[in-house]
Amino acid sequence: MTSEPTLAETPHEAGSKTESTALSTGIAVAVLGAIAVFYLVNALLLPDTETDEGIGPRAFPVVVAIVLTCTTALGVLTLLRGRVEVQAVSKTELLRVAICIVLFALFAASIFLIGFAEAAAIFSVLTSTFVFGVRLSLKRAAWLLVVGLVIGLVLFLVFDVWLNVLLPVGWIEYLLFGGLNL
Amino acid sequence: MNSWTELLGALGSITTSPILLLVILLGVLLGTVAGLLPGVGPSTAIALLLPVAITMPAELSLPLMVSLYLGAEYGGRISAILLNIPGDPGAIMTTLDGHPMALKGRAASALTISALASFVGSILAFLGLAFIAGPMSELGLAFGPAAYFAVVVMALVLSATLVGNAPMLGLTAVVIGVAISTVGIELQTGLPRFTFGTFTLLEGVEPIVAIIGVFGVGEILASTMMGHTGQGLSRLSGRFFPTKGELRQGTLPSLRGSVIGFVSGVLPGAGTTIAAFFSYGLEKRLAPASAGMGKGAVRGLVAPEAANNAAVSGSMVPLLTLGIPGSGTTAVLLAYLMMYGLNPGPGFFDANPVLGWTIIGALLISAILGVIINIAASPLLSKILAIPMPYMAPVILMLALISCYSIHNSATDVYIALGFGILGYVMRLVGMSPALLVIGLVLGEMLERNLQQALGLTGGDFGAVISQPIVMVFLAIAVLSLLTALPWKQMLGKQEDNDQRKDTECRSNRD
Repeated sequence: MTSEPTLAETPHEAGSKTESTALSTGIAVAVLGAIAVFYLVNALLLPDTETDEGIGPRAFPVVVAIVLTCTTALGVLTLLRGRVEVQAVSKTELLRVAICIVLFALFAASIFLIGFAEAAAIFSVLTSTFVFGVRLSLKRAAWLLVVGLVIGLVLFLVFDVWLNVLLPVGWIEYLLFGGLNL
Repeated sequence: MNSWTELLGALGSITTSPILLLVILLGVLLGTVAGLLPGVGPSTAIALLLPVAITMPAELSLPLMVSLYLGAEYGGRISAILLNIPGDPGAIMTTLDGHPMALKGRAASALTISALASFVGSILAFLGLAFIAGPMSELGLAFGPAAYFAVVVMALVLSATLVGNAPMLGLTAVVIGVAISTVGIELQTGLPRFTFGTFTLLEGVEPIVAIIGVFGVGEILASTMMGHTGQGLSRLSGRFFPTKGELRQGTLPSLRGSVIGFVSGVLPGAGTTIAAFFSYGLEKRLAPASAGMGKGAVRGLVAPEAANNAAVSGSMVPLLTLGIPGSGTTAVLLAYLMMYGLNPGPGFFDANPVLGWTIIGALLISAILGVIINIAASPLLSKILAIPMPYMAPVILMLALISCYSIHNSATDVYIALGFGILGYVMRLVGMSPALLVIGLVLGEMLERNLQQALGLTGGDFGAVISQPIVMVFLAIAVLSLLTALPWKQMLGKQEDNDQRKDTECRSNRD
């Protein structure tokens, strides 16, 4: 790459910092709380079959669930009281994270449809553009697509051909590597 | 002296095996690159190497992993000095004096001095490890299931309280890991737990998938907030070799840092970050005002660098002799060892003497290769830092996908890793250490198994389990560490000015 990427977004302003911290805290509280409640409910639903030799499959998860609920409650309290240094995050940044998650999920699904290297090339262009905010002209996008394809093919060569990790084969891999591992 | 004989034998085997030497060289090189790149780090790099590792025997892949770990500690200092961003968490304190040295036009000298300090730390800690590994392993054989249960509890609590932003959040991370370890078929009854009727979860959550998720994917999700590497990269200026005065200034701090680093590494959960923090703190106390700590002082640079490298060998002590990870990266190594069907802990050296001593011997060879590579190739290595994250991130995610996919040739593991990546990202937002989740996950199964065995021996009497003297000692340490870590002053309404500790701990979430 010859030029540095540029970001579409400007740095945070001091005024939005508090709101962003609240957003991070809110997300963490929701996720941690959901995990604790989900685990507690499902641990309590486990069959209580005590054995002669041990405590059965339920006792340990139930104890873990109780400890998890307590630590999560205290941890959430610590967060809500603002006694923990929380990383500020804006809605734009969260959108980028969400896009990255969706792109990665689509990448995993698309390798079976178009092959690993082809999916990797498209994934690298989309990630650089939509997740990291790199502004690309049509020419540079095409160049990045080629670079992504080359990286994908190198990874395919190393892992599939040399290390026998069976990766989904696309047309380009088929043509270049002679349909190996088809 | 039997241990030394075994070690010398292992060193002889390594030095006469070109393949093993090549693997260690590759590990140090990859580790240095992974260490210098902010957002990769040793845990992520080791996890991403899974497809390579599964094609190799343990005798090759484990030396590769430990040399990568040590190489990452060498590499972390490069971005800390040139970019003011620690490449790996253990290099946090290196930024304080390393970057000011670079700004004063002494970047090349800072890189050389810190590489030498890292070498001193690695060698002294290697000697400590070689000296202590054999006796510790013998000691561990005396532990029954009850003592082991207590050791695991102690390790989990110590990890939670030493790493991260707040002890309660640390404990939550550890317990989430333990909770995830209960997914799958329960060993005694054969009944499925938390599988929700899916076949995939019957075998439980693969630790490597979770590791790739929280470290690899989670780190990239977190790096989206960085945008691009907008920080200015300092030029590799100044004289390459340090002066005699600089070497003299750095000698004692390096030795002190090595000892602190080794001891910190032995403590479960402390790892390289705490080692660097403690050693820098000590140097700051010992240094006169004229030393200019924080303004490019040599002692402020070498002490944490010696400490973080020494912590690598230190963290191998509990891993290999007790099966307890001393850091997040050793938790990943523990997952690897278990993947090979090897059980690190008491008896590991008796059952696998060649492998055990080869791993330790690989640390010595890595230390030597590390200092050579990091001094000779520093101009080349510094150029890697110029690659912006927007172009690096997709490649790391491609590797993460291949690593997960290669386990069962299935996309399901990729989606599970993505789930863990989201969790890892959320944890990072509030300063929770993803390494703690991994430690909880890999120790959770050991915790339950030993508890069940201990209860089996006492007829289900939990009181009899915890009333054994050695069990009481370990549990008392756990309780004390928890009590001392809790913010009592805050809870009682008094404000505590603890900025330095807070600042360091909140950054230590990747170790």
